[in-house]
Amino acid sequence: MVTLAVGVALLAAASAVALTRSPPRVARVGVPVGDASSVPLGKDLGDMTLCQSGETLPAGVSGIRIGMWAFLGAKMHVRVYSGSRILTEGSRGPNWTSDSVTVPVKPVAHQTSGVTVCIGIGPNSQPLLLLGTETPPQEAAAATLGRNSPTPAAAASSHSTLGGKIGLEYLAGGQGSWWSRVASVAKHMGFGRSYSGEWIALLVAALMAAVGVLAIRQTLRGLP
Amino acid sequence: MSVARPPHGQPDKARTGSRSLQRKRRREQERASRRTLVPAQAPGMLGFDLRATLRRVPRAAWICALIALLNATAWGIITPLFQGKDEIDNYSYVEYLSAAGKLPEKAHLSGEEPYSQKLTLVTQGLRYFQVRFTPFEHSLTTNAEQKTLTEDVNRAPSLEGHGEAGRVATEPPGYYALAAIPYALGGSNILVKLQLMRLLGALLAALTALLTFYFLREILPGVPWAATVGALCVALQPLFVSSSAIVSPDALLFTACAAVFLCFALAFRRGFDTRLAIVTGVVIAVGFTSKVNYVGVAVGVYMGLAVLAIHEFKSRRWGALRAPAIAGAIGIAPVALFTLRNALTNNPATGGSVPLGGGQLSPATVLKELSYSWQLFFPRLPGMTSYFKGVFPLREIWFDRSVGFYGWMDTTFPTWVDNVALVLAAVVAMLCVRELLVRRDALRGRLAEIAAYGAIVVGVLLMLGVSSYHCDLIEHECSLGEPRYLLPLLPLFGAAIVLAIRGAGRRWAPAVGVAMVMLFLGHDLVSQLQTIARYYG
Repeated sequence: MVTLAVGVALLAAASAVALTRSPPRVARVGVPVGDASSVPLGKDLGDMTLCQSGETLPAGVSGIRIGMWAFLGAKMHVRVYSGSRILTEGSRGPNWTSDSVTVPVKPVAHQTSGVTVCIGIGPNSQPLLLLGTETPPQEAAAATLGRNSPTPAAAASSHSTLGGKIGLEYLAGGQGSWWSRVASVAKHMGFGRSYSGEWIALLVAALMAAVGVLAIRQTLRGLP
Repeated sequence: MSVARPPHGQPDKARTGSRSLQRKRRREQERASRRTLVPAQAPGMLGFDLRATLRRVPRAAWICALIALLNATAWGIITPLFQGKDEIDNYSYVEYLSAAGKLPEKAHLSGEEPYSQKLTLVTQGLRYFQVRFTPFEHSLTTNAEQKTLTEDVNRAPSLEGHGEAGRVATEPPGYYALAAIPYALGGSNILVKLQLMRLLGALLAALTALLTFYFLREILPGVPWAATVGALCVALQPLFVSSSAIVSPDALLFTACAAVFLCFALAFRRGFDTRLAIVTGVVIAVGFTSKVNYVGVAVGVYMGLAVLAIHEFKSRRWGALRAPAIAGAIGIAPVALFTLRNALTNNPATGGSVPLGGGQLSPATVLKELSYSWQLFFPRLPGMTSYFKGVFPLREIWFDRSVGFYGWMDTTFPTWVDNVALVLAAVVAMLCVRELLVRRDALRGRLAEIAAYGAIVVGVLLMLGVSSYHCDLIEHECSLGEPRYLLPLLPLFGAAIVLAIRGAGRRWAPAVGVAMVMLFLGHDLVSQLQTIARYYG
């Protein structure tokens, strides 16, 4: 009973804390990610460093979303430079699959324009598709193959460009907590079906409440 | 097939526990004896009485099945329609099967969209392609979008024609034939059809949980309540339940595999008689008709049948070969029929997912495949070429993705959740190993049975490794890194949970059991919240 009480309390506390958080919002769109106009800029089967200049880093950014498709992602390291000074950086492991990857970075206090975002990809042996928007060569992201430190100098050394700008969006903490969004989430859950309505969310809640009660009752019933 | 709990003999004092436990067990035995006294009414073929069999199913088993059913139903509502992996292709297969009345002939790979006009219209209304693979793109969020969808759904039946089966055309038809029933019951509304087809998956998940319950009670009968907890954890395992809750042949594959494990457990413990052999054969046959991936399981199953034959040869001599031969022959029948049909119609004999062509095989290729397969699951050994640079597949593919990998493979947890889960999994693994060490003497007597289960594990891993090698290194598409491919081994996962509970020792086992259920329940709920946030936030 003590374990059960602790378990229920922990579960309730974790859920409550999670619901006080806010979903991330897009603080600034550099180049749209996942947009209908996104095009493949290159396919990567190895390590690579990309640098894209002329970006603006808003204040309070906690993650940078990059337009990139992978079935089995690769390790990513992102650094944001103002000249040769690193403003912020972050990395993430290869456990991602989708047509975008968000790399968490340390938030900065002030907005800075004219920054260069450098992305180090690798070690990698899986196909990655770089997605973005086609631009004139002088505006395109610089790219260099091989495992290098993600610095503007490394990217510029190869004198090769991607043929466009890679999708970059800057994410910051949202304004409303999940608690404040419960009603709208319930409304959205009712869409996309033949029988729409908020009752769909209530039905799911009822089903899972029944699952919880049955599981706990059966566990306690069977215990020696 | 009798699947009542086995007689355990007289338990010693240490195992019987408290007086209340003894009273509880007495009551259970009385109930069991009352059940066996119920006269069989209207026995059917092979003396099988469904009603009497159902009456013998313990309440705990029903509850595990009910939990899986309700849980999968909830998952089936939470995951937006068609946002399950390959769900659109699976639906299209059923549509083709129902409309054309024959099996699909041509596989379409990504880039080609062979769907019917009506399905295309409805998926546009659902913003399927915009939402798929794009974690920040929500499902429908406005009344206007819902209105458009309703208009599309109403207009769809007037459109002529049917699509083709897409990239799943090479799958066998067993699951799709079953799914054609809810498809027909759904009338002309595609959304209703899909929701009903998802309910079929939920029912199959319930059946899988039920079979796992029996499997665990059979192989680990010493502490029945721990087996119940193991089955409960399976019924609450979010990856299994969410994978079963969409339109996918995986649901039938999991059920068939759970049934195979149960048949093996019964065969090794109670003897492999003709009746059980027939049931095993039918179960193997169902597995073959469920999904191409069953080939990996089947390799292990046939090795397991060989082990069974050798195991029983000592006592029954040549007569021991009869039951495995019957099971094997019945099991392989669908493959033989499918090959015959393809020979008569000049079609390729197997699906494209599992490369079986012997023409490409050379010793060097086989070595590469083995090396690749090894690295897909285990740390690279000295001398092996590295196929997964920067990735430790066991951790970053199989474990992390088992923690959370929902929807169209685009809903995951932050890394810190995977790290916490790893610590908890390590504790469970240690308890499990402790129990195995403590009971090593008992294990020695069950080596043949363990070898049979091990053969199935090896078969599944090899099939995945070889398929992934071809997809990754020959076709240059990608590695097959989805943990749902390991879910045919779900009953063994349940067994590991039971062993971990027992490994905690008599004093702590109840607390660990409760903690385990709470952990899986919490994981399930949090996974659902994560999916809700991704699609409806």
